[in-house]
Amino acid sequence: MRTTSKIGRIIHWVVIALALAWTIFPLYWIIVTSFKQSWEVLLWPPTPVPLHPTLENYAKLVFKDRFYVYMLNSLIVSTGAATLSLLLGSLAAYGLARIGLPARLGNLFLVWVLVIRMIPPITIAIPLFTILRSMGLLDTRLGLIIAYQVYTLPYTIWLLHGFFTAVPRDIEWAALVDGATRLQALLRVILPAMAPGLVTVLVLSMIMSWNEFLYALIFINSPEKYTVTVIVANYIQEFTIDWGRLAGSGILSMLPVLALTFYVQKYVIRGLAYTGVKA
Amino acid sequence: MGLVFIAPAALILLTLAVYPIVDVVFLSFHKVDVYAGFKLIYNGLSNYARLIADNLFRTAFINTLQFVVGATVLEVLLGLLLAVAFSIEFRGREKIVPLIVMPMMLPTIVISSFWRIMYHTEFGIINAMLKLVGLPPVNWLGDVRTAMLSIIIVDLWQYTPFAFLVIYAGIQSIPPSIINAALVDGATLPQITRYIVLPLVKRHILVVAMLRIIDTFRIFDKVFALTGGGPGNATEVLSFIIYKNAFRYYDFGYAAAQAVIMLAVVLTIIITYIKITRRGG
Amino acid sequence: MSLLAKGLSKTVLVAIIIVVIVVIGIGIWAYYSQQAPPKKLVVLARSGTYAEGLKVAAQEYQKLKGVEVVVQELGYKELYDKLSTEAIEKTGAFDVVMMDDPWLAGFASQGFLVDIGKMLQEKGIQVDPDFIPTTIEVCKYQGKLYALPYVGNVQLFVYRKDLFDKYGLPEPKTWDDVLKAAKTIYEGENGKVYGYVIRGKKGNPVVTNFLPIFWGYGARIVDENGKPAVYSDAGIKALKTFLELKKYAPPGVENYDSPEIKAALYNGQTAMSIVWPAWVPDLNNPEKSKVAGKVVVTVPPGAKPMIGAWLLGIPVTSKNKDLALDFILFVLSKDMQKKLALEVGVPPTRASVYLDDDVKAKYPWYPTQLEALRNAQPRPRLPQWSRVEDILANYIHQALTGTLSPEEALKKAQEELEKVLGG
Repeated sequence: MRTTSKIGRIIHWVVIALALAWTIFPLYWIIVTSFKQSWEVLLWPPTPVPLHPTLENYAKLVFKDRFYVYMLNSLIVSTGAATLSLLLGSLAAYGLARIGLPARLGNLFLVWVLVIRMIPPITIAIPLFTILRSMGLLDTRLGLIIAYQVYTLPYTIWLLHGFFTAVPRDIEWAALVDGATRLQALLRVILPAMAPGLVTVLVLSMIMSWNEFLYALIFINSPEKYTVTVIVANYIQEFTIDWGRLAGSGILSMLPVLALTFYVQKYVIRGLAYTGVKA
Repeated sequence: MGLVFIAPAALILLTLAVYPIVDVVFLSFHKVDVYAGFKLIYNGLSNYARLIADNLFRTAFINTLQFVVGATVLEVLLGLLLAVAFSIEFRGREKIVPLIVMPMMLPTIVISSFWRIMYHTEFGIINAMLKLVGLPPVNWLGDVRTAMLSIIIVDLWQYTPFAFLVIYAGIQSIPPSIINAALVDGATLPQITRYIVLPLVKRHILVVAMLRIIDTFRIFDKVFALTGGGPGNATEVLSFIIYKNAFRYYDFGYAAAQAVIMLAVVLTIIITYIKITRRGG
Repeated sequence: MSLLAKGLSKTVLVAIIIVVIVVIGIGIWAYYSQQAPPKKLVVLARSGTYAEGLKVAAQEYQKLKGVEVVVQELGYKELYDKLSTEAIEKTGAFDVVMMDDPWLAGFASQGFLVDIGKMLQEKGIQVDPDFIPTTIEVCKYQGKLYALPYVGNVQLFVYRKDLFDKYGLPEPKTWDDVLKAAKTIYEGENGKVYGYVIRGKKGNPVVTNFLPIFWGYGARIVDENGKPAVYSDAGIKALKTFLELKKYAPPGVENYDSPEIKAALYNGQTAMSIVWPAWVPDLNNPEKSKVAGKVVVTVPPGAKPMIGAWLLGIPVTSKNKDLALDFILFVLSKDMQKKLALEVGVPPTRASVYLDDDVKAKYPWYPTQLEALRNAQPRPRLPQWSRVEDILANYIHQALTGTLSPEEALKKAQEELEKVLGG
């Protein structure tokens, strides 16, 4: 579309500028805050650029609060959860897309998976707690990886189902004609053909697990095993006006997400909206 | 044959999501003695009786609905506005869209910590800006009248991009020839939006609204980080009181009953959603 | 799918896969390297000064006994939540736990804590009479000793001597005096100095900040039979005074917690406040406070001051109970308490440390604090305390924000307390 009138162009320009400012400003402000000393944070009028930029907040976070411990925990849990989901999910999605289930079971399965993805996580937290407890997996990162399958597995199955349906059948048939089994065909031909898609799904699941808070709060007890979201929630209560450190911890915990988002950007912009409608 | 491939995932999901749904219903008819090795004592409907008389539960339910409606309506409207604005070509559009979309990828807890810093009554940047233009300070998170609004604003920041993306994709899929034909006939942009774009993206709007309703219903992180349910009870929501009953007071049976009610409401919405999307094909 | 059609470039893809593999590798390595811990004690503590103190003690202990002591720290509510979860999960992750004194009844009744009195008896150790009796009292539940007192906290009251002199006001003896002084100063200074500052954040802060006023008017949370008694004339009067005081407090006190109170005090924005001892040292430090030398530290008016001791206990699931007790006794020894008071600012629990010359020289108000501690009263010793506190917090906060009138708030609090404690 194009604009037609001059007033229209001005309104258009204002809307875009406002949207951009609204999105960027909080991030800008927090980045600035994280480089301020504690007294400057409380200064009137607020300073748009730090008067004496300092790395003190980050140094404290790394050396005093050992923030890397929590980042490593989040990394272990999110890669673990995403990898497990990818393994189980690609099998299931392949089965559904290529082999199919009798009658309308396949569709039913997909709908069922969708429902699981949409129910509020708190409603099944109590039974999950007792399950993990009986398996001795409370307060372990492995337990959290398993619990996160509630979020990541349905998501993975849905996305991969779409991808598998999009891969041309000819490639697979060629392999089957050559005498490969279904599993061999999947591993040797189809998965390599859709590798970029697999990485995208893996990264999206990782982001989802990295960002998760509720289950990490409930199922992890030792501070040594906290993920970043739980420790930032703790800092919110602790550093009520020690904002430099709070801001720094937020920046550190979102950097990996930003880096990962860079890889899946195209997909998020085109694909997520698309699946949102198809789901 | 297909079953073999699906079985592992299905088993995991059965254990982690289906059994728990059954179990939470079962638990809701019991009192759970957590200090005696999770002994279950059947107590019939008394958890539900307690729930009907519980003011806090009622308040939390109403607050949750307020948040769901407020956030969804505003996000869809703003998302629509943005989608129309971005459908008009301009230089740098491809660079700006990823920026606009960024907030929805970030951890909610981290976003909440950012806004908590900005909302501070005395030293926060938002009140500082109000002061610069001569307005009185607002006690964003501490005033019953503004606390829920403040949480909704944070949700707008985070998830308007999602509504924008879905509707934007819808507009992109409209064949340009239709719009060009209208332009040739002398239609103005508002007219095109009203009579061509809106009818064609109605389905996208409906879908994104439903997805936002389902997602906002589970609100927990923002309340936990921004207000803790306060001031007073103004921002107590369902997920948060269930969390408190279950994992702060270890009143598992009662929390389960509250969870069952919440589950029933959300499942109804989910089923409606699935019916709507199926019907559209 | 555009992404599928075009594909990410091969190098990027390979790079991502390598990164993922390396990260998983690090993860597995980190996981297993933690599986076989050397002999060590794990302490779960309240973050801030008190945890800092334990870290200093831990280093000394390691030098002396060769045992590694790891101190993990959490915020107030998080600490309570994690302790109550551990009482149920029984993972045995902690050897020593720090508790706020009102929590003790709950954790002891859940069978979470080791009977330290019995352990001491078996070892032939007496509890040193040097410990201030009120601090030992709060470690007991149904006559048994379940913890030992680490931080001798008691609520104090500070007021600005310069402003009180300027307006000819005497030291407040009752909360009505406080209210009068707050009004006089706030109006006299044209609102540039607030009369009083409230720590109004929902939860533990608002309850501990309101209780001295509540007690000051003679109101009580539970009566001598353990039945709720908050809905009383005295209680309503106290809550009304609290709301009156809010008129002379900074805007936004509904969300104030300790850092805001400290900022208000140090910047000279308020004339009076209830304080905890840990906030006082910097108050008279000219580098951090604009009012150094202008404030008087005294006991809160109206009633016996509130004790808020922090205790050290041993979970029954600890695998190193003897070592844990040894560490606790080490931390609470006279020398270590003196060191922690001087170097970190942890308020002691031994009378002799309060009267030590070095300590007194650094903290001149310590004799006042010792007197306050000796006279202090605890919050009700109820196993359901955390729930009681949440209910009180909820309704006091609703009154503070103006959602409910003081009468309604206390009436509703009373009803809910009856459900929890039994009418």
